[in-house]
Amino acid sequence: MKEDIEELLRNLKEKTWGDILGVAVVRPDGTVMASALPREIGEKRFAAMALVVLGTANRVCDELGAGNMVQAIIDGSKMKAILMSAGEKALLAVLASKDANVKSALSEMKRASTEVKKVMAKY
Amino acid sequence: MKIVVFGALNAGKTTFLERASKKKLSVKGSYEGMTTSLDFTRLDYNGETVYLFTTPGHRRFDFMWEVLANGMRGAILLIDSTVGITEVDREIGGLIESKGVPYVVAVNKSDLANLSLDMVREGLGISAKVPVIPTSAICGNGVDEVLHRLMELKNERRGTE
Repeated sequence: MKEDIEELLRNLKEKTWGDILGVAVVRPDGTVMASALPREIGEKRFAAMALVVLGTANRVCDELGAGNMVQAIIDGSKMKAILMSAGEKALLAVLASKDANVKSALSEMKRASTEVKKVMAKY
Repeated sequence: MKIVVFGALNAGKTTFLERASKKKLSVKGSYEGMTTSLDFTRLDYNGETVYLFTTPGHRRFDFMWEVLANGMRGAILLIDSTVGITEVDREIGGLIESKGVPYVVAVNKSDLANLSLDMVREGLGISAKVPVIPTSAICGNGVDEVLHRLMELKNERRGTE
């Protein structure tokens, strides 16, 4: 399964023409299933933080009656982090360049998220 | 007023929150019983609104301890009496001490184990001024007392400020 997901992540990076700098698939307990991240990004820390942000965003949606959380975007001055659920057993966390085309990245992420769900359903 | 419930993994923080607020949390920031973001509830204490937060207990999420400690006016440190004092407990105790807020130590799961309160005090290296109270969040024993003592401490401090 890990190999399948790693290939999905490589494809996601290739399709976004440098907009996506790194990507990780994280289990619901905050551990990393697979990743392709820049060397300077601590994989474990990134995964745990992504899970906390997504969990908190879920709580905010619930408290506000905002419906289901679709994605969370952190817009930093040097980089963006985009997080979305990939089914009940995983989340997809992406690091994108500050000038990344978010619309295009989101579209590719949604596609990848569906693929991750399919791969996980097989195992 | 913001109060944060700290404690190691599986100490019973979320259950404590539910028992203290007398509300079942509809959505928990958790996976298989482990809090992975935060839990939050509100309660009324003698006309004062208390915002009660819990932290994730796993060391993987230790960055959240500091995040949630920001702006807190009081803290509760939950010890799992079936496990005893751990390095994580000591680390969290040090963090709470460094914030200078009133806090209470709740020795939880007292229905399952009888951990000596003196040993808890000694293990954490805390002064005699910090209340150490046995609790069982599952049964409800001691939970109201913890809140009551914490509010007393907060009011005493307010009186001296």
